[in-house]
Amino acid sequence: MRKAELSTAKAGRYALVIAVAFFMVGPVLVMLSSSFKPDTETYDPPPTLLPDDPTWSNYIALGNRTEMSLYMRNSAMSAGFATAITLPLAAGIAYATVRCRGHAPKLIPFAEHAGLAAYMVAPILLATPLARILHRFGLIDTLTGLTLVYVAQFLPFALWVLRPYVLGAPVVLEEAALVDGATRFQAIYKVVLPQMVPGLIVTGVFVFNAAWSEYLFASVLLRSGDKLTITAGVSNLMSQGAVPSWGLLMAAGVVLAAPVVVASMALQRHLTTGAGTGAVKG
Amino acid sequence: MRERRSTARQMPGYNQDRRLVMMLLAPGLVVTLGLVFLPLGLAIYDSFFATSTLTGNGPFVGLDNYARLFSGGAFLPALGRSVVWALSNVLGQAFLGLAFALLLHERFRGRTWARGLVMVPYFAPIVVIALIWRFLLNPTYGFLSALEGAPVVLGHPSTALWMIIAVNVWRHIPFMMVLLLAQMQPIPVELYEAARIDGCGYWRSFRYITLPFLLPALAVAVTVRLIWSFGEFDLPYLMAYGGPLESTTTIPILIRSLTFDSLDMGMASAAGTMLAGLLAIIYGLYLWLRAKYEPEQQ
Repeated sequence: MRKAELSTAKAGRYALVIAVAFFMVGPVLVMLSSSFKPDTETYDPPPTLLPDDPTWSNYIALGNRTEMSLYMRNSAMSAGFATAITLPLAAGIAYATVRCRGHAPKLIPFAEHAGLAAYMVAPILLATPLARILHRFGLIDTLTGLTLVYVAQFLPFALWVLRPYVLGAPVVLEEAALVDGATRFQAIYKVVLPQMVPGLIVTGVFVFNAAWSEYLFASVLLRSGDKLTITAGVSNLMSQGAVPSWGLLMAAGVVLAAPVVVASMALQRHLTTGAGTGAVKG
Repeated sequence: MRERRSTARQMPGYNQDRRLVMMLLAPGLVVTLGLVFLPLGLAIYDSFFATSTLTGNGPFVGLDNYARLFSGGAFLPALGRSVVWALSNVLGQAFLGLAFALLLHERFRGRTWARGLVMVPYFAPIVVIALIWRFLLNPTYGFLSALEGAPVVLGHPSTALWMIIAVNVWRHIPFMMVLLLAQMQPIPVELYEAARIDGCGYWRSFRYITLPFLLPALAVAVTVRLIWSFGEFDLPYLMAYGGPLESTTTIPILIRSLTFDSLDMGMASAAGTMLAGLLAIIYGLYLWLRAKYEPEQQ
């Protein structure tokens, strides 16, 4: 009797877990499935979960009829460079604020408060003033300008993710190196940095994903068709007046989402273990 | 304190280390001051001028832009929508995030998989989230069209905002869930065993053991999400562009339309400054909660 009750409860729990998982993943699977349907099938109600006749035609059309590969290249460039600049900055700040508090007792708390406040500023407040600042320096409508904005935007986020790794690293090794006559710089380079590698990888992937996914600044700070990033390009396809090809849009969505979803899923364990419950604002 | 500082100063290499700290902090500070706080200051400055978006210039008008914001027009309705948007979002996310965390905390086979799958909406770019739901909610081709009557939800002023709130809640459930799961991990199992021996059921254990452990983190997370929800632009814009009939025009959407449709950057900046003021108040609350509950983070 008791055993039967227990297994009913267990079955109920599994049913609930499956329902919840489908609730969260189902809509994304619809996009994936629809990207392999010809438009004639998409527009023929009632909708079906799986394509009757799977086809690559939407992806081929995406390659031929849109500038998707150019957008992808622009996004990879701006997100890649933004990550490459943000990581060393974040690593330096994380180290200084965790290990060298006594050396700059006023500047470090100031930097921490500035970083936290910057993390909370709504991007919409900055978009047009940033356009003017970039214009002044001749960087409006350039990927360089966008990259710099991303560095500023995602630096607080990077710090949030990276800091627990620095806090968790043992101080003993570094102190031993200092006692043995290494300079602080040598101690950082030879002892601290190798300890930070896992944290830097996780942080780098999440900063890259955040920059790859960013929409507002990309849409305000870039104008020319050949400069657009993938988010700006896909959102333009979405807002075009004529009846859009849903198949083409779904394929574009898959191409835009796939790299970041796969990379984040691979590293999501590092989010659930509590290190860096940080988030991209929004 | 003074004592410790003076001994630090006598340590060999103190000045060299101090230079190193400056070198490590300076680039990040310059970037943050120049590309976050300078533009924020510019926006506040612009709110006192009749600035045009096209020229970026205009005469000083004092508080005129603010007077115009509050004398009818689109601002107050947008503020009302923003309050509805932010509060509903935060409540929905906290409630469902808690429910998900409770469901996925207990051990069962496939738990890691379930936790991973649930994260997918949070990892997908917002542009993609908007795209998926515009397709699903499309009354002609979407999956809702299979339902009787094919309700028009995004195209109707009375339902559009609620629909976008639902989508935004859906996307952010994983954020709350992860945060709460991390808090639930260190709760000692013995507490639950003792409670069971004393005859407590699931709900009493939740009420008197789990919830007290979660409340501090939940309070901090809710204030952060409140700040970010008030500023949220991407999802409401990409799902409905502020329409139909301005029914989804929250403050961030209004700022965009004042800037690029009315070309009235002065007004847009005044609306932005009001939003910044509101966020600053919630930020103050956040700092207070954080100092109270997470002193080790300071």
